Amino acid sequence: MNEFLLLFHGGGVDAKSSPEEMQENLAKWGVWMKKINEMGVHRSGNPLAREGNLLSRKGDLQVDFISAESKELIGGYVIIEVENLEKATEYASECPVLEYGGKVQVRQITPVML
Amino acid sequence: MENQLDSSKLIEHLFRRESGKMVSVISRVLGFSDLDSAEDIVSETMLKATSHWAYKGIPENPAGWLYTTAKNKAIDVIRKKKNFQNIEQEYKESIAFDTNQELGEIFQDELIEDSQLKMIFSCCHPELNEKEQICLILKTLCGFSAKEISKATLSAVETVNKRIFRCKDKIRKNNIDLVLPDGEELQKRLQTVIKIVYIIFNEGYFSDTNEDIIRRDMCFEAMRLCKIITDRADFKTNDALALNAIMCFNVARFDARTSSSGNLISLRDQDRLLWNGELVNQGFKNLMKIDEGYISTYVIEAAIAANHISAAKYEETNWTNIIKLYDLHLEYQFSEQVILNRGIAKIENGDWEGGEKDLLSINTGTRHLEASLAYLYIKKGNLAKASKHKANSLKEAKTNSEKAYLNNFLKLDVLID
Repeated sequence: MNEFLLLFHGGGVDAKSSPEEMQENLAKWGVWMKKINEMGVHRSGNPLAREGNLLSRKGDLQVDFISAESKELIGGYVIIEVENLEKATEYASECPVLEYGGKVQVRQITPVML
Repeated sequence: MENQLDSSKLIEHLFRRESGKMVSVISRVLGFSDLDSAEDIVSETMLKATSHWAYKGIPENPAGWLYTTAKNKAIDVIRKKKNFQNIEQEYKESIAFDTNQELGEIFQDELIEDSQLKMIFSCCHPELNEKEQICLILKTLCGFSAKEISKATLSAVETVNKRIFRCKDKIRKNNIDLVLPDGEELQKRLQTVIKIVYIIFNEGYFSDTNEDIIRRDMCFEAMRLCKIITDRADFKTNDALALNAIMCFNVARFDARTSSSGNLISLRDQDRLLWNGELVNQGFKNLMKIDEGYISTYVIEAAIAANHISAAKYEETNWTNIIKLYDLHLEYQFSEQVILNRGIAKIENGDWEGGEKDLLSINTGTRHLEASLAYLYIKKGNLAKASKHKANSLKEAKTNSEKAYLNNFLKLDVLID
């Protein structure tokens, strides 16, 4: 079994969403989270703050402030443990982020064996 | 995971309802002039809940979690404002609490109810026009977004936003506070409040759109607002009690009103076993609380609705009583709608001549009038006139389901609900 990192890009609710829309979104997450927990594959997961910094260097250090306005900001992550990428992708395909126009990135976490 | 994952365990519309409550309470703390801050705080609280609960599950006490989060955000805002205290004197008055101590339990039930009551009244301040009052209430107290309000009231989103913006501007310019007016002004304002709540209810009940879900929500919101008034006010609210009754009796029929295919079923054809007995009882309870001898158009309307709801079968409807009540209504307030309804009542009571006289006396042509005339002439066997009026009513019909209803009704001699 391997661990896979699922990163959620965009596809959520924002300040313009109504309370009702937020609850609807939450209900959909509840369904998906319940499933990956009941299937025993969920290992961890957290939302990420709606803003932060993006660093780069072009000669000088550049620190850009990023927020929910930034396209496809990563909203959170979940780590699941399944056999392979195919299985992980299958679980990822039911993530509600996809219904809201977002993307899910599925990457195996490759531990280095010492 | 410690918390529940099943977010279907969240009660329906929890976010929307709590949003309205929190905006009311926080507006009280920060001042009505800073509605924007109150709305921002609540919106951020909801966003935080959405992402946090999605990953970590629903907490034991969802409302409590929301209140704690909102309160902390409010404290942050107040602290930031205090930093400007030397520069911006106007903020001083709006800060009612010393945040060196805790804000206190601002989200106690009593305070929540009281804040909402003050909010309802302040949103109906005479400086705001009717449409502005409606939008402001729907947005702040009922937690609808501009988009949702636009769908429900058939106004453009930009129009709704403009109205809300103007409200906030007027509130600031006129220093409108979250306080109840005194004496005569209070009763006058109460009349406005009741009128607005009724308009909101009717938007939901008679909505011309097919947005079924929003329609029902508007009705329930109107009922919730009116109940806050009758529960919390320590002044006379006879008309609000009457409005409660009217709304209870109407909503009691919701399940019987639409067929499985989404078509409207007339009062005559409704399965009365589907009428909600609990709501009917509530309606009567409200009627009982009205001061004896108090009469107003709201009370009369409630009495008419009570007569309808009391009939075990359509055929047992006490039309004579209902006609008398319409007569009384017209003594208090003239209305062509009332004459139309009385006309229909007379027809159903067998007085076709009286009914025809009423219907023909109406100047403003509406599709309801046309449908009623068609109905009358079908009964009288005057097919030429019946066809003409039926065609007229269909021309004005706004939705397909209404057209289907009219076609059915005017074929089978059924009365419009």
